[in-house]
Amino acid sequence: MKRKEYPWKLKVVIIFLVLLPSFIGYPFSLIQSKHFFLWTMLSNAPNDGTLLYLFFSCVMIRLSAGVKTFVMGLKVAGFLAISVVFVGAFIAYIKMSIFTSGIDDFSSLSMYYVNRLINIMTVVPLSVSFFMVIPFDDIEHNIVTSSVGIALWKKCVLMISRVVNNIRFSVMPDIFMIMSEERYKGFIESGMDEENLNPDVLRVKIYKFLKRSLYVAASGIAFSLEYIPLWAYEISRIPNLNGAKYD
Amino acid sequence: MPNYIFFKLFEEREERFRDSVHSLLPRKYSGIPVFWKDMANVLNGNNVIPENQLAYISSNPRDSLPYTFVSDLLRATSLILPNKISENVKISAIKEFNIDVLLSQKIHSLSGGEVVRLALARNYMLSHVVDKVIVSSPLTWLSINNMHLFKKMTDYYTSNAKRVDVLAMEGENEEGAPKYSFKKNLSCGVEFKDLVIKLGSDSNGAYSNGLISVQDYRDNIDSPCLIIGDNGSGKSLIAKALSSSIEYDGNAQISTNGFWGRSRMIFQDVITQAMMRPFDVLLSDVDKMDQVEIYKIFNEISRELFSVYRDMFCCDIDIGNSNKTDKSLIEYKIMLTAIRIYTHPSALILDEPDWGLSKNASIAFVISAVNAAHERGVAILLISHKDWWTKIIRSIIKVDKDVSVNDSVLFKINVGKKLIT
Repeated sequence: MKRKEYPWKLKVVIIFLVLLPSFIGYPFSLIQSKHFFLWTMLSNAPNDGTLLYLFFSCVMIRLSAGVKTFVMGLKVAGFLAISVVFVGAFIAYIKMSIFTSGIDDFSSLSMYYVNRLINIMTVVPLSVSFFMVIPFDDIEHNIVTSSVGIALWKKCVLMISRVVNNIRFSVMPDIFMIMSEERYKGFIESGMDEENLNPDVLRVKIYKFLKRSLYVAASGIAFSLEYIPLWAYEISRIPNLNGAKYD
Repeated sequence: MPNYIFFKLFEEREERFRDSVHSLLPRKYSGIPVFWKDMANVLNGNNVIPENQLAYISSNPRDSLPYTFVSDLLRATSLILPNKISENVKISAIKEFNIDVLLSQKIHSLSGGEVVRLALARNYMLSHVVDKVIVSSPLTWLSINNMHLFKKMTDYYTSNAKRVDVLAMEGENEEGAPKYSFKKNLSCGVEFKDLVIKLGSDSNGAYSNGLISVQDYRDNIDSPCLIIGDNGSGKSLIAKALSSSIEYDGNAQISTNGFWGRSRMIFQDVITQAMMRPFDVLLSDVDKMDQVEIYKIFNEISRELFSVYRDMFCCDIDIGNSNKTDKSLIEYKIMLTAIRIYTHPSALILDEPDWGLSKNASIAFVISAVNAAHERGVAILLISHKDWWTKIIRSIIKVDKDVSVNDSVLFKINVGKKLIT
C-alpha cells in the first residue's frame, strides 16, 4: 500500500516546530541528566536532553520528509562535521599538545567538539530538510506562468528559488556523481594490505581526505554562487507586473 | 553568414567570450562601480538592461539557460518579447527546434545536444529583441541530425541583418579525419545484463524518479571504440553506468585481459570541477609513490601529444601558458587521463574528448591517451558526434532510444555493434 504523502506546507510546519528548540532550548534543555555521558565525569559533557533532541529530530525528519531527504541531510551534516569539527579538533589538539600537557584539558576539549558534533548532526539535517521539503521547482514554475510580467517581490522569490534549485538539482548531484566516479581506486586500493594501514599511513590518509573534502566543499560553494549575477540579469529582464513591455 | 572566430586555446576563447558578453553579466565582469549602479537600479524598481541587447550560448550551454524547467525557460523568454508576437514566437520555436518532447523536463536532466537545441530555440525567440548573438562552440554537442538547427538559428539572425559571432575552436566546423595506426592493439568485452538505471537518486537528482532499462548486450570490441547515437539517446547514461557514476541495478562492465571490472570516465563536469583544484589536490588521496607513477604517465602522454601533433600536422602544438599553479585545459585533461589509467580500470571512457580543444589537438590528445592506455591494458571508449575519429577507431557501438516500453520504465536504450564503413 502506498504511504500517504503529507502536503508540503504541513511538512514545513512540522520541521519548523522541530527546529524551534535549537533556538529557544526548551523543552530539551530541561533534561540536564547525563546518564549517557556519565563516564566522562565532566561538567561540560553533553546532557541527555541534547542527545534526546538529536534522536527526536532524526525520527521526525525521517517520518515527515522521508528517507531520501533524511539521508541527504546526514550527508551534508557529515561534510560540515568533517570541515568544522574534525579539522577544528585536529588543529586544537596540535595547539594544545604544544602549549599544555594536562589530561583534563584534552578531555574538556574533546567534550567541546563532541557537543559541537551533536549540534551539527541535529541542526544541519533539519535545515536541509526544511529546504528540501519546500518544492522550490514548483514555486519557480508557478511564478513564471504569468503572461504579462512578474511583480518585484515575486522576482525576489524567483531568485531565491533559482539558487536553491541550482544547488539541489545541479550542484549537489554533480558533486555526488563525480565523487562516485572518483571513489574507485582500482588496484591502488586492492593492493592495500593491513600492514600498510599503520597509524602513520592512516594519519596521512585522514589529512589528505580532509584536504580533499575541503576543496570539494569550496567548489560546491563556488558552483552554487557563480551564476547568481547571470540569474539576476535574466530575471531583471522580465518586465515588472506594473511595468510596460517593449511594444 | 555567421562571423566565425577561431581560437587555438580554450582559455583564449573563454576570455573573448567573457569580453563579448561584458554588458550581459554586469555584476560578474564589470567591476564594483557597475555593481553599485545596478544595485541602485534594482532598489529603485528599474530593470537592469544592458546598453547592447545580446543573446548568447556559453561554452557550457546549460549555463545560459537560467531556469529549472524547459517550459519555464520558454515562458520567461516569451515575457521578454513584445506582447503581440510572444505566444506565436514561442509556439514556432517549439515546433522548429523539436522542443515539444522536452517541455515537461528539467533542464539539468537533458543531454548535451538537447540543451544546445533548447539554447538555439531560446536564441531564436530572442532574435526579435536583440541585436546580436554570441555563440561559444555549440557544435561539440550537436549530432549530425541536429546540425541544421544551428544553421536555422543563425540564418534567422543574418536574414534580419543581425550579427552572429561564433567563437569556435580551430577546425571545429571541419569534417574528415587523418589515419593513424596504434602501437598496440587491444580487444575487450562489453556486457550489459539486466541493466536498469535508477533516476532520482542523489547522483541523478536532476531527474524525476524513474527507471531506464538497457537492452542486454555482450560482445567483444576492439579499442578504441566509438559510442554513437542521436542527442538524448542515452550514450552518456550507459557510460556513467559503466563507470558507476550513477545508481543502477544489474551488470554493466567491460573486460580486458579476461578480467571483468569497472571502468573510469572523464566527462565535462569532472573537468570543470577538476579545474578548480591544483594538481597536488587532484593527487592528494594517492601516496607519494603513486604520484610519481601518475606523473610518469602524465609526462608520457604529454611527450606523445607533442610528437603525434608534429608528425601529423607538421607543426608544434600550443598548450598555452602553463606554470606550477595555473594549468591549461589540455593539461588537466592529460592529468585526469593519467590518474584514471594508473588505477587500471577495464576501460577509460572519454565523453566528448574534443570539448574545448581544437580539432588537431583533440586528435593528438586522443591518440596519445589511447597509446598510453593500451600500453597498460586499458581499453578506450569515446563518445562523440564528430566524424574525426572514423579512421582512428577500431569499432563502433550504436545506441538508440526505444520509447515503446511500459509505464514503470521511462525508456529503453538499445545497444548494438555497428560495422565501420
